[in-house]
Amino acid sequence: MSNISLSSHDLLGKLTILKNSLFMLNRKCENEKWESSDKEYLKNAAETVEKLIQEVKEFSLEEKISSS
Amino acid sequence: MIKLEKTDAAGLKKRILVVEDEPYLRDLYLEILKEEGFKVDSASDGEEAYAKMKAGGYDLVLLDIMLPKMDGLEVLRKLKENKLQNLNKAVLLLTNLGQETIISEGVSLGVRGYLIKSDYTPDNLVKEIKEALK
Repeated sequence: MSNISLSSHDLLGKLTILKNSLFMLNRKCENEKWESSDKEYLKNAAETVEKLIQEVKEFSLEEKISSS
Repeated sequence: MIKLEKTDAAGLKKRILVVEDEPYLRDLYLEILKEEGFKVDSASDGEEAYAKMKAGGYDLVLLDIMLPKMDGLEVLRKLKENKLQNLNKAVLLLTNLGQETIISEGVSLGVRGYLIKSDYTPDNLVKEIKEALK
């Protein structure tokens, strides 16, 4: 298996794109009448991305503390 | 409700320079700021940012730190070295992680503050930008 390396910075960059994309999609779905179940999928995705962002930030902070 | 001014005293639209190498985010920031009535320009690397900031006249520059060719702090250092740091009214750094050493160097180079990109949805970002333009 090959090694995969992704820094916290890169990962946060990708998650930020996802967060912004989901926000724009949510804005669109509010304008167009989407099914409530579809809105729920979107809400879950946005919440998951937010949790991931917080986890990466915490991980990055722990990494910084342990290396200092 | 207070109406926020998107124009200066002469009635000109406020000018914002968005310096961001990630194309999706750059386009998104341009779109939402244009929607809000600002005159927006962009740069995708440090050299382009330096050239545009050197020409001056921006009310606000959103400057990403990690950039190809020349990073955001290097852009600021170069502007300061050439005594060109006051050609734009305000600079906010864009970052993914709020690294203290980088932020404090930015402040010493004259930036007004910083925004951690992952903390903001587009609507919140616009609110912060309006606040910075007051």
